[in-house]
Amino acid sequence: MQTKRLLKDKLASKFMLILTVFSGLVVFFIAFGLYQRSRPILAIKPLTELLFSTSWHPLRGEFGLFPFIMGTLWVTGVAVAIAIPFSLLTAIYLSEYAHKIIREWTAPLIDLLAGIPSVIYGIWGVLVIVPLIKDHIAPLWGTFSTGYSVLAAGIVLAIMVFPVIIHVTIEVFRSIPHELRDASLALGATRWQTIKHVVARKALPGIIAAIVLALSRAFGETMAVLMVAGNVAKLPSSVLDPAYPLPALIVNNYGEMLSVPLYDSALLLASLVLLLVVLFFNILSRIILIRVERRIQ
Amino acid sequence: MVRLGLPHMNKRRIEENIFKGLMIFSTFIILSCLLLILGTIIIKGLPAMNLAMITQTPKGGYYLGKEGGILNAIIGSLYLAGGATFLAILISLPVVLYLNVYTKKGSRLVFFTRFSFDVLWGVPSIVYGAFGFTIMLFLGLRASLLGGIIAVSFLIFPIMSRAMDEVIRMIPEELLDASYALGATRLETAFKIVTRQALPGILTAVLIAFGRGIGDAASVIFTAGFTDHIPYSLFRPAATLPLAIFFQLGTPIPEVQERAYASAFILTAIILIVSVVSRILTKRFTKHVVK
Amino acid sequence: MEFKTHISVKNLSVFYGKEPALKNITVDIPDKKITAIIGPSGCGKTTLLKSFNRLVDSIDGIKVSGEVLVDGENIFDPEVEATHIRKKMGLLSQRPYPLPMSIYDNVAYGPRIHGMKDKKKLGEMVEHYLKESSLWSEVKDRLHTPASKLSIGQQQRLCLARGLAVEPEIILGDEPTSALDPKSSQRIEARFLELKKEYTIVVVTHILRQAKRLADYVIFLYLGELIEHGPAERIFENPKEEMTKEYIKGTIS
Repeated sequence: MQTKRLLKDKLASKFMLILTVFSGLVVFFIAFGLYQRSRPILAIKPLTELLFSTSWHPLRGEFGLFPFIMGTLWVTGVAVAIAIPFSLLTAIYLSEYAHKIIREWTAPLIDLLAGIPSVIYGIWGVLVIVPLIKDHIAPLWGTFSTGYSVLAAGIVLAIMVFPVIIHVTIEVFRSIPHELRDASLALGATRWQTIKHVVARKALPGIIAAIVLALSRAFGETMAVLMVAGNVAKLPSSVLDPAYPLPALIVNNYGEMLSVPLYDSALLLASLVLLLVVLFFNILSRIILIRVERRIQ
Repeated sequence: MVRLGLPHMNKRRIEENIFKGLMIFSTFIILSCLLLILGTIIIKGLPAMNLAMITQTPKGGYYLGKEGGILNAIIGSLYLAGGATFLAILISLPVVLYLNVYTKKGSRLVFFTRFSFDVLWGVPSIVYGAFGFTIMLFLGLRASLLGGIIAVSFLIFPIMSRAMDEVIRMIPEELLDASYALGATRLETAFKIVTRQALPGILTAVLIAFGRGIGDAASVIFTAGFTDHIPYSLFRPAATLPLAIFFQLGTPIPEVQERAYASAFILTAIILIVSVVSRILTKRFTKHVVK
Repeated sequence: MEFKTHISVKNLSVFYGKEPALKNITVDIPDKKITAIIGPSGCGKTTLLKSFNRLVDSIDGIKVSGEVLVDGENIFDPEVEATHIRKKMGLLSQRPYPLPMSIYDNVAYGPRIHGMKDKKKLGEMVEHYLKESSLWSEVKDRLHTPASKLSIGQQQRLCLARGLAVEPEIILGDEPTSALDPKSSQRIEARFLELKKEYTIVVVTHILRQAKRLADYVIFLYLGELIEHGPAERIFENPKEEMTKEYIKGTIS
């Protein structure tokens, strides 16, 4: 009886260890799987051409990803530019000013914002933001736009990353000892002065990490962007132009990809690029965190 | 003592008020975005809801046929998210128990695994879709319910694991020690004490993962395909609510678009229910945790 | 003992939610003397101290009734700005909390937030107050290194300099030596005895011997109630209340 129990414990331990190691390595499996599938195209085309050529003609065997990479960068840039001020101000308000009751009421709402599926954001963008840009914002600038544009994608994405920045920032602010605020307040500083000079300074690495996290979220977001960005494979020259982000490219062409030579390889290379960029952001955010923290401490 | 004298100033009070105003404004904007989104979905979706919508599959092709409903997508989504959640539990629960019961404090494996889950959490769902697709090519599978379940379980298991890990970490060390002191093995402690103590938290983690799984479109578009029919086997393609929205919104036919709105309404309702229930569970859990 | 009153507390009650932390306290605190607030932990000493500069404001669910008059002005009057009150008082907390900036900027922080821009004058102030808290000679060559690099005893003196730099009239100490080694504690106590010529000092302490060394006036709190107050000598040598006697003898703590 006793030995049987111990044996069971030991076996389970081994099994769980294997499972744990396996699950920890999934990210490498994904990278490896995508790399294997993108090797055919990497074998015959130089990587620089694939990444920096603007010519995308799968039937002629030309697979320049540059317009799509730029499309993603534009959309991500606009989204983060909109999201930063709103979400930082909100996070500061909720953690430093708002009454407990307000905090308790808004927290689940912001969680809900994070939980809404991206297609729902997409359908909302199509129904509300796209017409808004077409009928009101573009005429304001004296230009024409179908509404399906960098700006539309940027606005929708910004709303999607609000919860990311707010959540991380509030956590970081909460980790700062109350006594540090008191030290500044006791000198007669106003709350805002305390936040600006002391709390935000202490929280800076966390805020940067929050923004980098939002960047990587926006970078890989697919469905909502696909539905409102317009998807024209050209370099956008203004926020009212359409863009064709990388994830949208992958989704839109899954149908044909097995019938044109190298097409699937090109699209899986695009996924690999997406994965590597997101991994880079994640790891970057950790390094920034450690560095800035060390400097402040 | 020398009093050096400080000027009195009013400027900072003005600055304080300006920023406080901006903060309240931002919070208001962000919350109204949420209300606007939910409002739009309800206004468009509610009129599209009727009995046929939720009891029939589309007639004459989901993209063009004007008749029928979205039962294919409702059932498909439940199958798919249910299956993926089940698979994810099979991976997450042992892994999280291992991390918290079997390993020593400060273990590298624990650090690495948690870090890896955090990174996986940030990997875009389209990448999981693409990865799922490569697995299917490897196994010789075609777009099917099973393919979708595999891709989505990869997508949600890191989320589930991290959420479980957060609650199980809070279980006091003393509780484990008490169990060991009674002669229990680690395995018995893990499955009899830890899981029981953390049950509401584990259920919350499962619900969060389910919610994420049922709402995701990019990971299933390659892997599960889309169909007018209710799948009767794991190897048949399956329709899902998010893709029902995506595909049917794109047609020029108003009746078909109605189906997209109805799908959006149902999906949003599911997400709302999941989030309310998990919130209730979290509340209950934190009530019992000894601080 | 005849004295001039600096802070006058009238019927002050403080509630955390429904829990009373201070019950109807009325006491006068003398000008340019050291007043020690003593009593067992959890008896409301810190709450009383934090009421003086309204730091209790930032605690969730707090309710305050009664008055605290500083220079005859009720600081809980809604018309009064908390920043204005706090400028009159320097605070030393249980552990030093240097702001996340350099030594120089820590001392200059107060004057700067109150609008001081003159660089030369700022430099003079920093030097002056670092000397005042007897830290100058130890840090004068590294004013621009992060304050967190200092030892904990130096950090506490830096916090003293930082508090003095807003030119307060009152110094509040919340067990200011509890995190320090004996040598550093002694230094802080020595500064207090020097500073009382210019400032009214109120110190919370749970160390009776420290209260005996420092205090001119003593306030004894027990479970949120004011048991006894009076000149230090009288309280220590001839306490009127039974509770105070027991506390001073060490039977309750």
